[in-house]
Amino acid sequence: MTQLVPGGGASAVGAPPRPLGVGCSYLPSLPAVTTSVLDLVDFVEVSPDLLCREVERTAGPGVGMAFVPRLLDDALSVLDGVPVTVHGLELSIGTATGWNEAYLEVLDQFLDLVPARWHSEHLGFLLAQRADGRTVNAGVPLPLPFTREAVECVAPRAAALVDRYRLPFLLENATYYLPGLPADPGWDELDFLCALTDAAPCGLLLDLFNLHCNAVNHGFDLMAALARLPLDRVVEVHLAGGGVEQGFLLDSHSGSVPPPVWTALEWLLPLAPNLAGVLYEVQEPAFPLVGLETLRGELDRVGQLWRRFRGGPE
Amino acid sequence: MTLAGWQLALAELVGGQDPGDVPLTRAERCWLSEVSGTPGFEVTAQVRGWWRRYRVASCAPLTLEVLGPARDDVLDGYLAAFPEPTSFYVREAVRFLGYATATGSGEHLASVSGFESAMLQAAQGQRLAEPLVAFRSPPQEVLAALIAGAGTPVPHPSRRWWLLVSPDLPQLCREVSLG
Repeated sequence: MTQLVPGGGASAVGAPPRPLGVGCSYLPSLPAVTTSVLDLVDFVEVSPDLLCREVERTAGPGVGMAFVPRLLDDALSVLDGVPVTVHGLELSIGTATGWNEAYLEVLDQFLDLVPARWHSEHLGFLLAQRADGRTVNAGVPLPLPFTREAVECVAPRAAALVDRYRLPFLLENATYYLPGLPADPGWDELDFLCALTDAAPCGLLLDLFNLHCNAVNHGFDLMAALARLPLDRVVEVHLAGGGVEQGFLLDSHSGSVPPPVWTALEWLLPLAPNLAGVLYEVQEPAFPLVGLETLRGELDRVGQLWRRFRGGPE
Repeated sequence: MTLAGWQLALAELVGGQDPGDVPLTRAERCWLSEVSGTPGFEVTAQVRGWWRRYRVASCAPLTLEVLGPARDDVLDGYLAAFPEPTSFYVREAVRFLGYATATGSGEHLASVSGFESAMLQAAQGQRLAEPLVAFRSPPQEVLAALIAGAGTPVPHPSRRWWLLVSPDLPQLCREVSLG
């Protein structure tokens, strides 16, 4: 079995997590939505940063974060007894000058309250730093260049997170709309992901819709790209749908999963030995576009596929 | 390439700022110059703007209603005046509400924006420096009219109605009479 910590080691952190099954996103302002789909899911994924407000930091640069008591209480109530995974937004793991320590302070607190099965982060950067030390928030997650320098920036941070939390840690492939991202000779997005998972003690949160968006927007073949990934490192899959704007397929989490992504999932399910969960992802702003009926329908379909390929009653 | 410099320059560009004297190689400058004219860059910058507008719209609907046809101009003005975004909904909305109060116009604008700002902060458990919000018409009538998209009552020339906003109140606010 592939160890998530290179070099093996008998640590429980190094073993892939026990399979959970089907998951959904927790929507902090709409806790009743999660409650109304608990019969269809095996786990719920929480972004602790969405339960927070901005505060002045008492130490260090950047913006501090603190839990909003009402949002945290609602989450703890809804998630009581439900397996939980964590999916962070604000860490900015790829910022060359350093990640967002304020997010880790919040994650420390959250993991003290909720025993998450694993945690994950978006592969990219949100923050940058000016020469005078001031932080620039890009306002939208931006991609990393496909370079060894970026791998060498992220990989030791993934190792530090595994050490800090003693939990499996996953990195999620990102959507990007910028053409011709800088890359080392011979490298593309897939080479970059392979190099990163090879260098870092982490699993891959494979967002099939993100990869589909990139395939559509940048003109490569989704299935050929999938075949190049180290499938034994895929621990979680995200599914979603999105709209088209100015000719770009957007990662807007605003609709049903498109057919090519279902095809990719059916291909992947029997081939990813350490896959522990498949999640249909909805963002709060897009929930009115998706609606409860579609959410339940997509979760039900994921559940049928999970049971067909991974066991359990159909 | 220098990852830190490339990231700073890209973050500044996406935010509509000139990367200026960020130390970059000739190749990096060339890439940034080329990419900034592409549809993919435009979409990236638009997604950034959509998020900022969504945060404001979802947190300050009543103030946007008060602003009426001027809402887009005020919102555009805000985004230009405060180019650095935040990921936090309430922070973005409270900053917008302050800007709208200072630059916008409309009957009940100061009351409604002050009320929304106070409620957003109280809902997060924050203590308010100014917990009293003055209205020039009965607050329930003003707020109900805005929610219904109907005309708001004519402001009273001299009388004031007061709402106390506090995280300790069951509904976060209640009407109080002063003096």
